[in-house]
Amino acid sequence: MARIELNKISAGDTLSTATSSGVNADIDQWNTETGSIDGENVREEGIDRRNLANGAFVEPIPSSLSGTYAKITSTTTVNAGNIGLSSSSASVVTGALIGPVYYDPATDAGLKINVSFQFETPIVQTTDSTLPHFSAVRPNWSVQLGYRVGNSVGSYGAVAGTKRELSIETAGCANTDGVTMAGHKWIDSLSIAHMFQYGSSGAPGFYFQLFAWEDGSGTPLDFSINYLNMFATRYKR
Amino acid sequence: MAFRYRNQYFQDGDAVDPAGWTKNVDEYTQEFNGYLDRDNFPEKSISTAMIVSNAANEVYSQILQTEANVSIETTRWLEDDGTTSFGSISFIAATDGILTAEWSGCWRHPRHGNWPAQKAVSAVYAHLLAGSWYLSLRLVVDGVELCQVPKSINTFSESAEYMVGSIPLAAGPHVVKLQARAAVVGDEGPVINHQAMQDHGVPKNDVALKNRELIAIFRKR
Repeated sequence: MARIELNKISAGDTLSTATSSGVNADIDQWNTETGSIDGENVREEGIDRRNLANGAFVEPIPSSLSGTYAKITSTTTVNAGNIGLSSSSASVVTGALIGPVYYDPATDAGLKINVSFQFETPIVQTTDSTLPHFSAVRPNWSVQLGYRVGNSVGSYGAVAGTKRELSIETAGCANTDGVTMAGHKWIDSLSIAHMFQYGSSGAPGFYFQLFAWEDGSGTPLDFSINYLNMFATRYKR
Repeated sequence: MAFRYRNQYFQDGDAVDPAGWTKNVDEYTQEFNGYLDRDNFPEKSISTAMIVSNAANEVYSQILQTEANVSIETTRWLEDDGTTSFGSISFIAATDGILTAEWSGCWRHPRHGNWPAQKAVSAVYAHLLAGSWYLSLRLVVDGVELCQVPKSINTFSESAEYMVGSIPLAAGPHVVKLQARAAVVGDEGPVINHQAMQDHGVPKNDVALKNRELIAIFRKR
């Protein structure tokens, strides 16, 4: 705290210009201390929003949403088998990319990534005619967020804790009477919320990409993603 | 501090009383020593770097990747018990504010297909096929339910859930918890006697929570 302690003047004193105890000492204090004002000089709850710079607490909305916001409104097919999260593979969900997003652990409280979308599986049907009609194919779809620092071509790192696995249980089949039952088609929605942690500021900016793949046994079954919305929120201080 | 007035006015020829001089100087010295406020700082002059950490936002996150078993042998809500971590965040709020809690994660339910074939003729088994396995997840703040996502899970062996809720909180200690319960629900309510199920060859298929994350964002007044 910059604190001013003035020399008291009493009646009968000789007014001194000494730099250690006189009028000039008081002036020196003002000249020095005003350069080191800190929070303790400010009255509690004395600051309001008018004093704050834009984006002091939350990242301001950019003029272009392209960096922190992604949207898909047409069906994106994921047709991959056992490939996992890889930047060069077909597991990349086209259009589900945001960046550059900035985050500095030294000054920021957190960077939250939200993604929400609809997914749709193909019809899963089994030839097993015995009850119950469990899926013989047993597809297992996975989605996960990946990140990288900077936009240069390179591999993505998996964002811990964001892998979501989807697997259907029962399936239609051809029953013992020879009548084929309709298979099961799964249409649902999925949302992921993640508070991103990283040891450094990542000056070129972070990029986040959604990946999806099918890693069940047997023939991979495509599934599709649509109506996706993905965005980042940076919390400062 | 914007409007501090001189208490003493001196004019040419006055014999200056030191007390009056000091009184005037003290007016702004006292303000400078801890009472500056919004009127002393220009508009938009305070940037992020000048603000102390967690002044407005406190952000907490807990990522869990070890499976947590949600037993179907009880209908009570399960939560962190010292052995199994479902997810919880504790914090002390210095002021009142708004808490927003989010949870997303996936779960696994053992495939019914592992059951013996004779279950096809079992009444219990037929009952189970009718869509009567349920998983419920909810977020609780200081014992108050924030949000809940009940789900029938018969058709799936793995899937994911998401929930979010917000609540005003007073200053003081708080805890956000994930609670979970799984049940097999019949016409008369939850089936507690799992021995009867197992007598019919139905294994005790608990639900397991897998990758999951609990987020708490406390926005201060």
